[in-house]
Amino acid sequence: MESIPNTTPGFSFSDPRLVFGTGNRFLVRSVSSVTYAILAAAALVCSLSDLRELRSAGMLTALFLIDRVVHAWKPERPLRFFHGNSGNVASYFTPESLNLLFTAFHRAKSRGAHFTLILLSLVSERSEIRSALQRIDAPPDDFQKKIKEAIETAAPHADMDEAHKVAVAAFEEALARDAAAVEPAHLFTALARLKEPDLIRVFGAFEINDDDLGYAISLSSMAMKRPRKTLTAFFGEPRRLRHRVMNRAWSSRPTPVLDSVSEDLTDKARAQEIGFLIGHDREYRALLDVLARPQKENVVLVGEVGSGKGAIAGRLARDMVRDRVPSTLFDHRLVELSLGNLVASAHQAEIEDRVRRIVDEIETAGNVTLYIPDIHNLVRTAGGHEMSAADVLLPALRRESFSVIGSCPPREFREYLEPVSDILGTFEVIRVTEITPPEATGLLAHESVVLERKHHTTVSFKAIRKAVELGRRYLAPKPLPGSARELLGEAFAYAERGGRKVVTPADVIAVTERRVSVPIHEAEGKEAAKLLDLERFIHERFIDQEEAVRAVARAVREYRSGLTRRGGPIASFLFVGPTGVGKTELAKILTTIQFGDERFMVRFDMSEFQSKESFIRFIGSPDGSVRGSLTDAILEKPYCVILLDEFEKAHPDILNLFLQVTDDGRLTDGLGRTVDFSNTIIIATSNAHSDFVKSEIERGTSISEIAEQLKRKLTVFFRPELLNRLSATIVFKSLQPADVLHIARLELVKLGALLRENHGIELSFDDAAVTLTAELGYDPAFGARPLRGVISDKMRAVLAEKLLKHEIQRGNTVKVGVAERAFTFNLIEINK
Amino acid sequence: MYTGVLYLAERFFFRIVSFLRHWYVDGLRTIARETMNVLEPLDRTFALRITAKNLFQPLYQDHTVVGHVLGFVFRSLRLSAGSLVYSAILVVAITVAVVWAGIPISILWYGIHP
Repeated sequence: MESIPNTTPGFSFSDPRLVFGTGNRFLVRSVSSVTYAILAAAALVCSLSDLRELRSAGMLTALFLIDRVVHAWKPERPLRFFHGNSGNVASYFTPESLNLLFTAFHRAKSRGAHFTLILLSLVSERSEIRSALQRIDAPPDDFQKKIKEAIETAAPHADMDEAHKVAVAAFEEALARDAAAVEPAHLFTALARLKEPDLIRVFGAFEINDDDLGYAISLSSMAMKRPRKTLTAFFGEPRRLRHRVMNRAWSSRPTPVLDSVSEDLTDKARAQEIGFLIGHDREYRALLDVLARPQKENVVLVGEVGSGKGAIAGRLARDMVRDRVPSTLFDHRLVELSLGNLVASAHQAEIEDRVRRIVDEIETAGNVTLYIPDIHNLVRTAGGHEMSAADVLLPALRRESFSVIGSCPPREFREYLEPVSDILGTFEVIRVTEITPPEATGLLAHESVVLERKHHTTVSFKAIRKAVELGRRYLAPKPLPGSARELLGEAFAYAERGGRKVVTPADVIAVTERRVSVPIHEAEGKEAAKLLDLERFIHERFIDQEEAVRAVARAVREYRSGLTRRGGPIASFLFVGPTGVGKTELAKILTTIQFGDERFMVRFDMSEFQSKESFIRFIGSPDGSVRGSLTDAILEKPYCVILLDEFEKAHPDILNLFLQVTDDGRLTDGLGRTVDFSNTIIIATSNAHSDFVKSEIERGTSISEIAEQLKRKLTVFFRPELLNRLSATIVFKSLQPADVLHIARLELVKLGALLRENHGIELSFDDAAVTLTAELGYDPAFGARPLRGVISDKMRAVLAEKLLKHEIQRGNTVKVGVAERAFTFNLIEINK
Repeated sequence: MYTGVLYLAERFFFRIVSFLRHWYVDGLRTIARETMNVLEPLDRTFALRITAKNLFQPLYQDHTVVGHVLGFVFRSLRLSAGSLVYSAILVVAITVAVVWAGIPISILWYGIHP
């Protein structure tokens, strides 16, 4: 028998049909077909014969043929019987898979074509693969077309090594996916995994990666199954929905009080409503280990809301129903105690009484494991010095007469449970961490099958991946999969409202943008043109300071092109220059461009954080008594511009915090919460050395040279590491009277727009009025800072009076002029 | 062409061996698996092992004499009923397995021994 050389240690693929020439292939096929036809005829004729010997032979032949028909589409050996890590894997392929492999190889040989591309073409014609391609936004016909193009251009290549590699990779794929045999779908995913240049070109054209394909194929096959209401139902066998208060040993007791304030999770698991869990293997194993121990069988799962604590409890309930739990939990019920129901319309004494009765019932029943979500609320059931529900429960926990699984978010755990050492001592703490993005993708991919049935809309796999990516990036600190699940759910509703039958990545992007007010979609057409011309757009509202405008525009363009450095904030700037030159104004304009509204600017006057004690005010105290003004602001608005005024005045410890923020984009607050700065733009402003800047500009030194010198001088206030981690240190020039004239014109236009919008009154200014405004609004020491005050005092106030006195009305046109260095307001026309 | 003939010869013997393996190994394994599939859900009702373990325990935590007596009586009845049902299923399964294994042999026997 011809054997293909084994290039991967362990597995080999050996089947003589692969190397057969045309003659041999014809011989084998024709002899096989003729033989089976003869055997079928012989079986029929002999079975009807009068001779016992012939009848016996006929019946045996019939049995043989029936066996062949039954096994015609099955592999020679089912994959579940495979053990070890070596040997010939050919016998685990279905006849269909083998046929595809052989046909592709022979075609490639005879036509002088590329074997893997021919195989890809044959496999992707199959219906299950076409459906999977559709799911990953790769139209099957376009995909075929791309393969044909690749076949035409690729160099002929068909050798044994290649065939062996594909076959073994497909086998490994099937093995990893716990499949019954090596199916054509495994050949397809193996081809995607091969990383061969010609294949990469085809898969790359549709942005297909091998993991996506695997999920898409299993999703397609799940979607073809009988509809199920819940995800767990796809994986479990139906059970009789009988509420089992009494255990199978007939040794338990009814628990009426407990039943009135709780929900039986084992019942829900029996009804296949809960129990599906992806990820959290470490946490689940730890939970089982603790519950299996003879002592201290209480656990508290500590994790953020949406991190999967409930899903872990659900999985435990499912395993209890299936008897796949340690003996200490065998024949037990897992009951979720609702603290809301427990304390509902009850005063303190009644709550204590209820808890006592519940504890008695559980101890007597002996088959109840209690799950208490938000267990910290037990401690909060009493105020001041009164006894809480936890105090009543504590003696029972110490007696270890039954097990309790609690769950709690980290902050509440530190605040309420950690200080109570009595309670903490009886529980084993298991930290529930966020699942990984691939795990979240897998989970949502499975859940989407149920969502598809509910919404009568299909979802592309790329939309699921996008939901995970954006959920992690923009909805942090909410953990996966909760954040991504929310986005996907909204995307379903959004697509449905739009009358679309497929949820695409664009839908996920649209709902994310609406939620976080950050442009995420790829900039195209007019928007791309505007981004390219952003400097001019900014200058429509902002005068001069070319260097600063260029740096800001560059940061926005990098962000919108997806080229921002991962890990840090979107950008971080230090604006240095005298007061009243537009540092804050540029920050506001940047906020409007990036986040759509000035409300997305979080502002801190750093002169308020000069003392060492102010550090606590900035990031919060460990016990939660003082909230962190910076960290709380970012937790509330994770997408914003952070403006740090008079940055040099902050305490050095606070400045050091920004070393981490600018580098990692993360900061841990006093309570231990990680605050994500990766969607923020940090702008620190400083007046330090503004005299130096002014004198250097007057001497004609270039701005870039001043910036370099200034950076050295700024080390008096800031550590060099901090200055180097900032995206740019930008020097703002002092404003000249001519600049202030432009600014005055812009401000007056804004005033005119406000009057038109609110009162329908046209306001115009003659040149003398603009010039006088600029003259009054300019101060060599404060730049254009007095300008707003002048406009407010000399114009807004006067116009307000005139409006209240009805001297000007809707439809009027007012022209502002100057007479004897005072503003005049002349009514041009009155519509009656 | 020679390779093709050799391959066909090898396949001929392989198919005969496969048929026997499918019939005896896979067939009997399937009967055993299906029997377990019937017994497993039944054990959720009869729970023979737990019932035997708790044979002398009081019924539903009723620690009176009546509770102990009733516990013993009911559990004994359950054990008896369970054993009866399990035995019946096992007898049926063994019969099916024997009949299954005997089919090819009896056909052969029927042909060669008049």
